[in-house]
Amino acid sequence: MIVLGQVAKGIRTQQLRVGMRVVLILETLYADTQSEKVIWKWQPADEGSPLDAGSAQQRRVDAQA
Amino acid sequence: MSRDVAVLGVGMHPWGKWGRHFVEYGVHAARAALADAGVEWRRVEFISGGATMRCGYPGYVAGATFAQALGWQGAQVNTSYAACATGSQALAAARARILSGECEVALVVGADTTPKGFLAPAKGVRPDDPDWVRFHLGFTNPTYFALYARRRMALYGATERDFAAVKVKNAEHGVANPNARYRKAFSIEDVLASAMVADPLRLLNVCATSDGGAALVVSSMEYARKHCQHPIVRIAGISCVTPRFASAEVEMPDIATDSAIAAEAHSYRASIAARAYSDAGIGAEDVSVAEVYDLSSALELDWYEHIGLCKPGEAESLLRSGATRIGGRIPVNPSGGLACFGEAVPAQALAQVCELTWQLRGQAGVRQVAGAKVGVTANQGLFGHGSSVVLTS
Repeated sequence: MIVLGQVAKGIRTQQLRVGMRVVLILETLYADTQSEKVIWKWQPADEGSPLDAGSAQQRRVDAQA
Repeated sequence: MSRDVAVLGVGMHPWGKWGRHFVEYGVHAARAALADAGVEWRRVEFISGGATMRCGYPGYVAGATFAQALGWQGAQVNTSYAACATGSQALAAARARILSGECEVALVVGADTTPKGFLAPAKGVRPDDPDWVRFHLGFTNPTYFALYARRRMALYGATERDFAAVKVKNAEHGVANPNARYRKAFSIEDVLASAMVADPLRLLNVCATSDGGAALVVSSMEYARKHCQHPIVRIAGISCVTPRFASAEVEMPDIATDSAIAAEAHSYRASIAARAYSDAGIGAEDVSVAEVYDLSSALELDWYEHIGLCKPGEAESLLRSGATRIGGRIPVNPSGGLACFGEAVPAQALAQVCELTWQLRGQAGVRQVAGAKVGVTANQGLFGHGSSVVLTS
C-alpha cells in the first residue's frame, strides 16, 4: 500500500529513493487562536538525518492531546 | 452480429488559447465532421455531448447545448462526463444506440474553454471532496506526474533526457499539424533548460491546458457501406473500465493505493487498453499506431507498457530505438499528442480518435504512418475512468 504525504521540513527529493523506510511524523500546518492544525509527513528512517522515533511518537501524542 | 460501428466523418477546431465560448469550438468541429461525412445535421438521430465543468450550465448539458446551437431537429440526446475519458464515454453511448438498432447515424461532440494555469478543484472548502483534499495537501496534477516519473527513474533507470526525448519526438510529429496549438520543434537541450515545474518534470515536459473541440459522425456498418465517402474505419472496441480492487497505483485524486495484503494488486492503467483489445478481438501485437495521453512526457513511457507495446521496464529502450517515431515500427502520438495540443478535457479522447481515423484512411499527410491498419487510443479520467478505443481499417 502506498500513502502519499509531504516529506518532513528540510528533506529534499534528492535524499529520497523508492523503497526507503520512513516514519510518519506530524508537523504544524498552521495555527490560530483556537487550535493548531497538523499534517502528516514522511521522514526518512534510515541513514540521512538521525531519526528520533520517540519524539515523532511524542509529537503525535501531543497533537492528539 | 457485427459489434463494429463506422466512423463516417471527423472534425476538429484547432487547439489554442482562443478564449471564446466552448460552444463555438464544438459547433465548428461538428460542422467539420458532418461535412467530412457528407451527412446533413437533420439526418443525425442521436447527439452525444461531452460535458465541461468549467463553462457553467451549458457545459453540464453539452449534448443539448450543441444540439440547440446546430438547430433543434428532434434528435435524441445524451451528455457524458468522465473527466479526461469524457469523449470515449460519449462515443460509447453513441455506439450502444447504433448497435441496439435505435439509430443509424450519431454525432459525438466535445469542446472546452479552459482557464489559465492548473486545472484546479471547484471553489470553496469541501473536505469531503477528494479533489479538494489533494490540492489542499499540495498534490497538483504535475505533482502526481512527477511522482510517476521519479518512480520510472528509480525502478527502470529512466533519465531526464528520456523524458526530453519524448517531447522532442512529439514536437516533431505535431509541427505540421494544423490542429495543434504548439507547432514548434524543440531540442533535448531546450527541454532540459526549461523551468522546473515538479522535479524532475520541466515546463516542456508537462502539457498545457487548452481550448479546442473535436467531433465524430458514427453510423451502423450497413449505413456506412452505402454512404461512407472515405475508406471505412471501424470502431472495433471501446473500454470505459473502472479500477479493480486492489489498485496498485496511486491514482488522481486519491492519496493512497488500496492495501494489497489480502487481495492481489492490479495495474488499473494496464487494464484499460486490455479491455478494448478483448472487445475488438485483437492483441497489442496487432497495433500499428497509437495515440496515448502524454499529460507529461514521462507518462507516455508508462503508456507504452500499459497498452502492451513492451514489457514493464522496457519503455526507455523502445523510445531510444526510435520505434515510436513516425517511420518506426510502432509510432506513438503521430498527432503530436498533448505535448503539441495541451489538454481540452472533453474533446481530448475524441481528438485521439480523429487522428487515428485520418491515419487509418491514409489521409494524415506528412504525419502519415505507412500502412496503418489498427490504431489504439489510451487515456484516463481522474476518479476511475478508463478510456481506450480500438480502430481498424
